[in-house]
Amino acid sequence: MPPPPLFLLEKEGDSVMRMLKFELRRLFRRRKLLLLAILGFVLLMGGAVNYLDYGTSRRTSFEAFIFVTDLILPFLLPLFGGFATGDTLAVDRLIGLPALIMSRGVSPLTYILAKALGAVVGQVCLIAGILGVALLALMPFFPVGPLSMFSGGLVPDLAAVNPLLYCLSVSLVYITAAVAFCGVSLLLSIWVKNRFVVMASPVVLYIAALYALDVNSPLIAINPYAHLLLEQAAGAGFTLLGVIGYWALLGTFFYTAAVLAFSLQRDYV
Amino acid sequence: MKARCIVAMLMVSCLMATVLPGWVSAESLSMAPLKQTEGVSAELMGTRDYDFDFNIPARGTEYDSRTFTMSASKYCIVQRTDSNYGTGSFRVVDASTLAPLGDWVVIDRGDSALIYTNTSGQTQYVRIEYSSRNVLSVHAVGWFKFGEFDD
Repeated sequence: MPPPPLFLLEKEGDSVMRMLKFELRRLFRRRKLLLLAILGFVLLMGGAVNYLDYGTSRRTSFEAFIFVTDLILPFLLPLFGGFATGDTLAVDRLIGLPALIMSRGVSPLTYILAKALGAVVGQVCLIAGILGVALLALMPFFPVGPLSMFSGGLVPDLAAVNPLLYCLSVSLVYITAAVAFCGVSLLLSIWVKNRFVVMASPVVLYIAALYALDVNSPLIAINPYAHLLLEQAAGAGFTLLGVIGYWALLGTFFYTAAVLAFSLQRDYV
Repeated sequence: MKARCIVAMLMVSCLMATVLPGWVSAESLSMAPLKQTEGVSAELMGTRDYDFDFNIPARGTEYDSRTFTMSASKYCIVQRTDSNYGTGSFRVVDASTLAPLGDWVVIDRGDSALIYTNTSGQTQYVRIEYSSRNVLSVHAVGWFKFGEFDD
C-alpha cells in the first residue's frame, strides 16, 4: 500500500528543514557575509559624508538614511546579490557536493529548495543587517526628524508623518531587490559552473537592462534601475506596493525557475 | 561567530564615528535655503531668466560657461522644464576660484528650487555647477532665475 500524500509531504518538509539548517550553518560560518556587511556599512557611511554637501532645511537621521541608501544601494545591490549568496550552488557543483548529497537519499527537490531558502535567508540577514546598523549608526550624528530634502519619494505622507516607518518600507524594497538579484545567480548556476560568471551575472544583466530599457520611454515600467532609485520612482508613476511587487515577482520567477530547472535535470555533476 | 560579528560591527561604528568629518558640526553647517517650488513670484522685485540646455554628466561635475553677477540679497532659482528622467544637483560657485558658495540642491524634472541667496552683503560673480547622482547622464532644460527678495 503506498504511503498517504500527507506523510510524504511531512517527510519532504523535515528533509528540507534538515538541509536548510546544514546550508545556513555553512553559509554563516564563512566570513564572506561579514566582510560584505562591513563593506556595505562603510560605503553607506561614506554616502553620509556626501549628504553633508547637500542643502536641506533640517538634517535628520532618517533623511540621511534615505539619502545614502538612494545613493549607494542602486549600485551595490546587484553586486551583493551575486557575491553574497548567489554562488551557493556553483560552489557545491565545483566540489561535486550535489551528487554526493543525492547519493545519500536526498531528493533534488529537497536539495534545491534548501539551497534557495538558504540563499534567501542569507541575503535577507545581510541587507537587513547592513541597513539596520546604518540607521542606528546615523542616529547619534543627526537628530530624529522628518524628511525635507526629498518630496518623500513613494509615500510622501508617510515620510512626513512617520519617517521611521517610511525608512523601514524603503528597506523592504531593497531587501526584496537583493533577494531577486540572488535568484538570477542561482538560476544561472544550474547550467554554469564558473563561479565568477555566476556571481557577476546580476550586475551584467542589471547594466544591460539599464541601457536596453530606455528610462525616457514606457519601458521604464520594467527597468530595474528605475525601481531602485526610490526618490525618483514617484515621478515615474510608481507606488511603494508596485515597486515591492516588481521585485517580488522577479524573485519568485527566478527562484521558481531555478527549483524547476534543477529538479528536472538529469545530471547533477 | 555572532559575538565576533557584533564586535566587528561595533568597531567599525566606532571607527566611523572618529573619522567622519564634520559630524560634530553637522547641524551647525550652513544650510541651503528651503526648497521652493511655489509662491516665489509674490516676493520678486525684478527677476531675470537665463535659459539653459545641457547634459548633466553621470560622473563628475560641470560648470555653466556663463558668469552671473549677483548683487547683495539676490537669489538664484533653478527651474527645470524638461521631463527627462533623472534628478540633477545644482549649486552656485565663485566664478574665479570655483569655490562653492552654497550647498548642492537636488532638482527633479519639472521642479524648481532656490539654490543660493547672496547674503554676503557684497556683489558676487558666480557660476552654476551641476552634477548628477544617477548612473545615466540627464538632459536638462530650463532657466536660471535671478532676482531680489523684497525686504
